[in-house]
Amino acid sequence: MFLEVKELSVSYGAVDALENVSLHINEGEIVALLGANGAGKSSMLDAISRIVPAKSGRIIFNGADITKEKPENVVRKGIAHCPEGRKIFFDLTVLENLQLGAYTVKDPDAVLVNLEKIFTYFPVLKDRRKQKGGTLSGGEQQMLAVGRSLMSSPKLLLLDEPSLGLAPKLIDQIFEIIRKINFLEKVTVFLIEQNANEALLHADRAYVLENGRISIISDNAEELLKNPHIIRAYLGG
Amino acid sequence: MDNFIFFLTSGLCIGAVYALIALGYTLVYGIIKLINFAHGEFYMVGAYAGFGIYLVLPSGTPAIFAIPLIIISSGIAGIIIAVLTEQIAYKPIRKSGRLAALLTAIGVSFLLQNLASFINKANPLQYSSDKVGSIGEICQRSVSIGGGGIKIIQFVYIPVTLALTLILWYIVMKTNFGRAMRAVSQDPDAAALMGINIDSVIRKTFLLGGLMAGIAGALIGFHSVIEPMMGFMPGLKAFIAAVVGGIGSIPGAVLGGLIIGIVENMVLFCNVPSGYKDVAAFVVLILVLLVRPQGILGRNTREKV
Ligand SMILES: Nc1ncnc2c1ncn2[C@@H]1O[C@H](COP(=O)(O)OP(=O)(O)OP(=O)(O)O)[C@@H](O)[C@H]1O
Ligand SMILES: [Mg+2]
Repeated sequence: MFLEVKELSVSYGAVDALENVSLHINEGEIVALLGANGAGKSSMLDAISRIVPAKSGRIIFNGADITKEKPENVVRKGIAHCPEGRKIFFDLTVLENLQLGAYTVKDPDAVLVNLEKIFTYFPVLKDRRKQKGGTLSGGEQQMLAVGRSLMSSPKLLLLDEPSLGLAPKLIDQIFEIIRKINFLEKVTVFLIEQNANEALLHADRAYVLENGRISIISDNAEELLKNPHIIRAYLGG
Repeated sequence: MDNFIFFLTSGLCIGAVYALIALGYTLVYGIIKLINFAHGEFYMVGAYAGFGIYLVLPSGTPAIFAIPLIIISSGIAGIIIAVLTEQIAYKPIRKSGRLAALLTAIGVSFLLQNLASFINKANPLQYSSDKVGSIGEICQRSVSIGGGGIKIIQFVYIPVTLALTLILWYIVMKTNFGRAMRAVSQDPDAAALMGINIDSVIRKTFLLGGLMAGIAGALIGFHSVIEPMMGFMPGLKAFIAAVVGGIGSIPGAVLGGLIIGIVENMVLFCNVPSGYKDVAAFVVLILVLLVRPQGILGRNTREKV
């Protein structure tokens, strides 16, 4: 198994965000994690990238236990996390933001290759490369955030609500690119979405989180689109 | 009124030293939003360390070797004390809020002052100028400029500050480490996701600040009294300089330092009793804060709550 989360619990003081959650991701997949606001989705990704500590449980990536790793080592091992709310460095240029994404890449030629690749996926970033990150539109910022997380040549990409606040046309575009990255660059994708419809359309498998626990596991994401519970809870049916 | 040029030159020289110290305040504030009140003590430690090296140097060492050696040693001492302070005092309480950090900084400041008094038994030190050709004597020599005497060692201040500022500017704006510094300054969580080791960036930021404060200590130590409290006033003025220039801004720190240096010399030029000289910095501070609360080159930052 590529990524395995075993009985993971995360809490913030008295608030339990995740309780004994287990899930796995196979190499090459796109896996969606759905759930309402506050279900614990972001906590899951934050725990994997080690910016919040696990209270108990284990996280195993590529055979190595990363439960106690430092965040920078998780990046080095090949996990990139594109966080909720984009977290662009506003005062740095688009180019500098992208270069920071490749902070763990020591070979300058490899950084240039990655940069060119990102510019072919997101041509708008090339045009805007000298502009401050904070001056980009919301959609452009999202592209920058995704592009930045790809700069480290990750094996696993964690995406926290990439469609948040984007117009439908842009959402389609972002998901198209995510699929391309998954297919062409062989990047495994773990995707959090509130936009269940879109996520299930593109994912191979899906998990649903409810109040910090897994409530549904589906090996066929598209089938979930017909699940009455999902329709009621997440598709506005 | 004919000695305007003298006071201007004098102000620029001392302003360059304030700038050197102010850069450390601004760097550290930029990265962890801490007013490092112990920063003036890094300067004091630098001055002592330089003097210590001077004492162990063979007596015949030519000044042309001794002076750079002392400056470098002071810089290294500044680095050591700054990094130790960060590791021992600030790092453990980094998540405890700004007030705790501020109080700790004041505590460290007192601690270092008292440690220096303990070791030095509060006897002020000075480079001896008895022998012609000795460091002390050379540094006390002065040349007449615009109606007053400027010590030749003071002419070293501006080039040293200029060189260090340019190097610093290059590091911050053009290197991977500098980008990481700016990233940590804006959003430490996002910086961690980039694979940046935050602890290491903070440590290196203190290192840079300590280096410059230590060097400033050496420069002033060459011709004035070295004593445990010597860091207080220059530290305070440099802090004011950093705020006046816009805290967090590198050009701001340099500009602020030069302004404070020049203004306090202009006070003397205008025949105000020299006892009021130290008040000048505060007046500048108040005036600037009234007109531009973020400082001259500071940006109107959207503070995160
Ligand atoms: N830093 C924090 N301190 C305290 N509680 C937190 C913190 N972060 C998250 N929580 C709580 O943990 C729970 C899970 O939060 P999380 O951000 O993981 O949810 P989410 O599924 O990502 O929600 P959303 O869809 O709104 O982003 C929530 O109840 C939240 O209030
Ligand atoms: Mg979330």
